[in-house]
Amino acid sequence: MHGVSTCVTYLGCSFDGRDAAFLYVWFSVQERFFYVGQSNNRLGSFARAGQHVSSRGTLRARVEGEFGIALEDVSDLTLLSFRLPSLPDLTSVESSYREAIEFLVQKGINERRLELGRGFQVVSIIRYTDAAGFTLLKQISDYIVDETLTKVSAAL
Amino acid sequence: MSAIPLNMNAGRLLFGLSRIGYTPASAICDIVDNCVSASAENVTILIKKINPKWTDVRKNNVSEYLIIDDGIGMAHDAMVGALALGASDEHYYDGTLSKFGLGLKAAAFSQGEELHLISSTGGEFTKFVVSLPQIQAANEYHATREPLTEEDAELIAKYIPNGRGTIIRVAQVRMVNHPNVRETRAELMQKVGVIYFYYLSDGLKIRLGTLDGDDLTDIPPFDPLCQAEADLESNLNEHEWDGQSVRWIERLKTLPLDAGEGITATVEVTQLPYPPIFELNSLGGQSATRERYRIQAGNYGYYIYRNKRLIDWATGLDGVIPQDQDFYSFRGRINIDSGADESFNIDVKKASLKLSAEAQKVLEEISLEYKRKSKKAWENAKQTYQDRRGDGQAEVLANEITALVEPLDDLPGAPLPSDAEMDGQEERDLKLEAEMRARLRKSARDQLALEKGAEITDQQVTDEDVEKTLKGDTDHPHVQQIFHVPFLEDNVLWEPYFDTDLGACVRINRGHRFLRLVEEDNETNTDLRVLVDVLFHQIAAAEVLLRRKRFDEKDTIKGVEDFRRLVSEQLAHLCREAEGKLPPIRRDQKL
Repeated sequence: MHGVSTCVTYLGCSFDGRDAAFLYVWFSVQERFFYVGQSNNRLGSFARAGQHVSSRGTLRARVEGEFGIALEDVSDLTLLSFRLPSLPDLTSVESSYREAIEFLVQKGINERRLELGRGFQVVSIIRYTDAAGFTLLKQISDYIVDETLTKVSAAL
Repeated sequence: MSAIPLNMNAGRLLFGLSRIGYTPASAICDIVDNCVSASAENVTILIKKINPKWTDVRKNNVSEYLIIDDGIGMAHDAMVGALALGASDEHYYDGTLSKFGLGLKAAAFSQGEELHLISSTGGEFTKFVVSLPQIQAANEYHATREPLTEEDAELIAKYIPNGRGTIIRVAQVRMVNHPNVRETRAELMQKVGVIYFYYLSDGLKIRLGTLDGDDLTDIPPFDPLCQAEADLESNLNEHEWDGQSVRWIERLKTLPLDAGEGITATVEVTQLPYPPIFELNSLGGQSATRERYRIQAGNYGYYIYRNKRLIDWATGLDGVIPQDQDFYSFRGRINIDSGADESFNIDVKKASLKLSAEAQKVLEEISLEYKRKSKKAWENAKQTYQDRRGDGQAEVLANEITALVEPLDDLPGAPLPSDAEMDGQEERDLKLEAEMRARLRKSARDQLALEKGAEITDQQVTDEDVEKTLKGDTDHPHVQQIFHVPFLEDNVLWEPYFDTDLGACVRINRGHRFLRLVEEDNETNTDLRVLVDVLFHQIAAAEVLLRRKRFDEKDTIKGVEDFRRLVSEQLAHLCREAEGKLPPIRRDQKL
């Protein structure tokens, strides 16, 4: 009747980057993709999200390039934010530890995505850092992968 | 709409098929696939020479290739089916090595003009011959049934004693630049063990020899990853690996390569040893290691197996593993099954495949970690090798550095030499060279006298003796300016030498206490040793320059020599007085 549509957004802690960094995972069940990223922005993954959906954002570029559809047409685009422990190595400007978690999470999702059935792709591009060998970072990443798959599975 | 029949020139079609790039070895392997698919326990590959008396290095000396197996064999209808182009997949099971029903024909005709198929399931043997010239003449693809020859019967008696199996004969091999027997044998010996590694490990026997020769050789399985050795060790720690063992980088892991089609692959990666380090254990150790593990260009990368048969040898996956010597020890294996065929575009020769974009991305990403570890491990092993090698290496490196640099002609800002000075320089250089040579000769004579315990005349001193006195024990071609010698007159630490060819050189006294501190107590510190050598060379070069410029200033020259003696004594004194406090300094040592 009046053409207004509703979109409820639950932010939780996703904008609380005080002394914390984030690992985040975008996903869509409709288009069956994941995108993994990290940020130490003061405003958390929420601020980073704005950059991602902007006209030159990497999320937009990867999704539109891979699937040939506008990001706006992904009706179930979801952002999972994981607030990392407040350790100096993770919150500092130097990003190799966060990139290590990003690498391990993407690797973990890649290895286990068939648990969700066919067709899920990981569209983000990551790089490897030596810190990926650290046990604590592996533990953090394993947890994030488990949580991600649980949430996505629930959304299927 | 009605269909219009189109011509098919069978001869040209077969000819085209045969030109898709087989070598004799790869053609034989494609035929061996049929033996494996037929559940053979024994496969015999025989090469028949045109002239058996000619050696194996002679080109264009092969008349036939024979591939004989004791598999389940074929009855008449199955043989006709096998010879059809694009043979039906009715008889293909899930794990088959066959893909398009073309391999046998393409492989055979890539080498010769005739294909003979002789087979039995347990009763009488049947023989068919497919001849390319006859097909081209008749413009019809056909086979003729023929009786067995005496040779056929002998082969059956010798290699298929249980009366069930198949012989493939590639006859009338084309003699246009056909590789020699040795080349084909070497390629088969090198490759068959890897291609059929899984089957050979499970009990299949493949033998290779020449017909009428007494040279039948078993081809053993060869695992490019040397997994059995890796299983005995812990996983690779790239920071601590000593370069002497095979280690896992990634143990067997299943990975989705194409989520859309539900295609998975298994991946495993090992790091093979670092060959140079074995040279420190024994002479020839490096080349023995390279040979044992087949570590060389063209053998590093991923080995891709389809249904347990190798289809891509040491591929870099289009740049995922770059062309770089630091990856020489990287060995990966990817196992796929025939479910992946559509996604991976495997070619008829089964010699390569083209990954889908998703599979490429997945393999690129997981390889980031593997490559980093492999490269780092290689670099650390190289450093360990250099540190352990110590002796001689520092000397070579120092010489390579000084060879890069032209010495100064004079101090910056010094007035330009006059014409007279320049004219006289060559003469002064020759005089200086003669003086230094004479001094060296005297040292050589004194040394010989000491060794022999007798008076030695000038005539008894050879040029070789003088060279040895100059250069010490080294004969490395790069050691041209910095020489480590066992002693020097007056036990000075260093002595300059000048030669119009070599330029400014230095002889460094290995026996001097200070140099023993550097060379022995700090043996593993190659950087320090190189810098000390370079420092002394530069000091000597400065002294040489002074002598060349101020040739007639005897007091100045004497002053410099006294200075050298003083420094040498001072450093020896320091070493005595500060013994125990000099580097290498341990963390817990307090000065």
